[in-house]
Amino acid sequence: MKLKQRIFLLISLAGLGVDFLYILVQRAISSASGIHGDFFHTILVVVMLLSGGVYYFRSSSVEERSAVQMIGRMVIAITIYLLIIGIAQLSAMTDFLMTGGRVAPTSYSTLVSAVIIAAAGGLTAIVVFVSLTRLIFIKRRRNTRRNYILLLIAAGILAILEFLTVQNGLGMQGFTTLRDIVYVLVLIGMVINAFRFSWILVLSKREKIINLLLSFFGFLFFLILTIYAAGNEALNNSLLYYHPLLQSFVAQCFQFGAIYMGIGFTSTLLHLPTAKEFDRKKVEISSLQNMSRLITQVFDFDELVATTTHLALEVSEGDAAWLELRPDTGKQRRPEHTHSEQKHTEILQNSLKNIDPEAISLLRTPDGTPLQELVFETGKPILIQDFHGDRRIADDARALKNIGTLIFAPLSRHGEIIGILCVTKRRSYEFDKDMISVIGAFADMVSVAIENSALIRQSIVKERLEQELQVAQEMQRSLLPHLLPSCPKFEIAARSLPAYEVGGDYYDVLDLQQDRLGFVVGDVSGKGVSAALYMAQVKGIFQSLSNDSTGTRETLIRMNAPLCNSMEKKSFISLLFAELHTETGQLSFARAGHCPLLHVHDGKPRYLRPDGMALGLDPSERFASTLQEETLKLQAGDIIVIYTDGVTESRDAGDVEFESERLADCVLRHKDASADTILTSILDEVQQHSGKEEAEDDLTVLVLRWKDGI
Amino acid sequence: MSEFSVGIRQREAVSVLDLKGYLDAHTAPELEKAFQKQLEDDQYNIVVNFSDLSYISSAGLGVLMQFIEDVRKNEGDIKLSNMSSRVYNVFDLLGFPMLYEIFKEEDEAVEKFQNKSEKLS
Repeated sequence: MKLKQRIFLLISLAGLGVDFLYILVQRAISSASGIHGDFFHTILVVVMLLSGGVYYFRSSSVEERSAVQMIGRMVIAITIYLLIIGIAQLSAMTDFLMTGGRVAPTSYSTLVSAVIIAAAGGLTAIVVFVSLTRLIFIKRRRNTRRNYILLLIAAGILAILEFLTVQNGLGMQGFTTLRDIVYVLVLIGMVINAFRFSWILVLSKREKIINLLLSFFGFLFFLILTIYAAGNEALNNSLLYYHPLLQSFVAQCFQFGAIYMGIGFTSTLLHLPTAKEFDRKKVEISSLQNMSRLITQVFDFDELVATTTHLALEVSEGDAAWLELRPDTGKQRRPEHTHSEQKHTEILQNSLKNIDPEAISLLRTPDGTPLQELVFETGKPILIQDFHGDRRIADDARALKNIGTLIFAPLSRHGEIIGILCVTKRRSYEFDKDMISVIGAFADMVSVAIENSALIRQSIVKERLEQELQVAQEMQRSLLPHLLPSCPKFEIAARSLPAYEVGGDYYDVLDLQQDRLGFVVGDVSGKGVSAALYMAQVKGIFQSLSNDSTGTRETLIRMNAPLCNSMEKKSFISLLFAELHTETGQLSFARAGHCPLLHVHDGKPRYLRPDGMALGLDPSERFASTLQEETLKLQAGDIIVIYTDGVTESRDAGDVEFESERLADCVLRHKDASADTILTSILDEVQQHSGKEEAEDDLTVLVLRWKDGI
Repeated sequence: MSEFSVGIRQREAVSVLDLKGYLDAHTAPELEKAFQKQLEDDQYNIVVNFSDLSYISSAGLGVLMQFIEDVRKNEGDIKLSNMSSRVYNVFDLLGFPMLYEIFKEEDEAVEKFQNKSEKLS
């Protein structure tokens, strides 16, 4: 592509050189006549103009933004051309011989100056022509191309007519009339095509001012050239001598340039007063587009508020901005119990830009109420256009020299004001009513973004809690035995129902070897992960002790000290540990502050309650000294029930507890059923009693039925 | 339904906490705050009156355990009084009577504190 471009340039330059030599040769042969009628010369001129035009057209591209540069280039080209003409004029070698409308230089120096002027004129005309073409085709419409082609055709016809006029001497009367008619048409065409200035609208104010100056000088220079050329023989003759086609092309380009620049100047001038407004609108639009950034930043609340004030400054062209937010905003909702005096101290200032907290604290009404308070109370925005003269402002606040105009726009969520977006400007009367609606619309979007951010944060927190609960539940489930041992001599059934999420109940059945089986039912005070952890500790201790069990009492005593050390002061564990000799049916147990053990023998229930404190309460000797062990021998049909207080303390709607008597009754009613049936009957009856799907406290029941001998 | 409140009374050198309602895991922090306040005020002679308490869970007992060590370190004590049989049963089951002095009447508990301070002076 670049190579091709250069070829056009080369052709053009080579044409110029060849042509110059050709002119010199022709001059040597015949000094009196010009060469404009020469066929070879005409071809060369046309080729030079075309290839030069193609080269420049290809190497220039124009967008809306660089339209001003395009104008600038034209002005530079024409300025240089004016300088060249000036120098040529000063050298005063401009004597031409007129022979019947044709011109010929009287000397070689005149010839050289004519060629230089013609070449410079041609080049300038190419620059102008290409630039204008590019400019006209910015944001082309349906008729743009058609109008322009019509203009080119008319201009071409005009050039040929002018050429023929010169070629045929002074020409005939009718011929010149036709030429003048075409000339008028061309001028009309130029005006029509010159009304292509949509690109001015999108320029910034600064660019518009530059464009105004450029088009003014451009218009001036083109006009000077056009008028000057009409009256200056030396200039006219130089071009005419070189080639009438070139002269026509140059003249038409400059006329078109003058018309375009003139209209451009007027158009820019008319757009200038709205330029600032337009700039603002542009920023508004781009800022509102930028709001999409806010939406993606809902994951980071701090970043969200930072972007908010940044964009607020962009939208309003303000000098300082900040957010005032209720502290719960972006976090959880807070119960509304604040009265107005507390409110202010609870408001957090966020993302301060170009302002400090002391300055903000000065923003008060004469009676001392913070301005923000007014917004929180009324829910309406505040606009203060003349900060230093406004009666709503306390006198000492007027010391704030950096505030001239001020807008406080409320951020609301479901009708409740959650914060304020504050923007100030150094000079007064810089914000108007329109700005309130712009900032207001912006504030609405910010509210939505903040709301979304809060919702996401809530859901993340909730998810985290749920995950934690899941872990705890998982732990708890894994701590409970999956399979209970069974044997022809006895049946075991056990179940633990956590009250909500994770409970503190625990049960286990341990193989203590030497035909002994251990039963543990415990209740850790507290819930959640910590309860689950204590349970895990208890299970671990039991497992380590089960290999060399020294009896239930000893085992519990050995457990107490480490548990006292590791557990929180306020936590403790009530636990019942029983040991069954699976051959003999001998059952011994110790109770560390736990619910009594229910023993049903021969159709009679009794609660066994040996002394003992809960584990983890007292690390001293007292634990051991109070702990007792009880032993009984199970008979065929005996039932043992070990449970937690969730069973007996289960309350009905009237606040009546289930009580241990009812538990005993329930077991008695099913005393001949299997351990499983007894277990489910107890759980069913407790649930019926409480009348709720989910129990209020954890409940755990372990049923042992001794069958030996049945 | 789990309504709970703590009232604090001063009987000379003794603080009396009147508990009312249900004391469970949800309401335990309320009692915690009351104890915290006593400790902040260097008030270590504390009687807890249970006369209006209808239910106590292990979390409620946990609060007593949480503060007893600090209180006793400062030559004070937490004494309990006026328990319903239902509430006493919970204490008894867990072996709390080994750890706390439990009185039938608040006056007895207060008196006990006063006797002690007289002896000291």
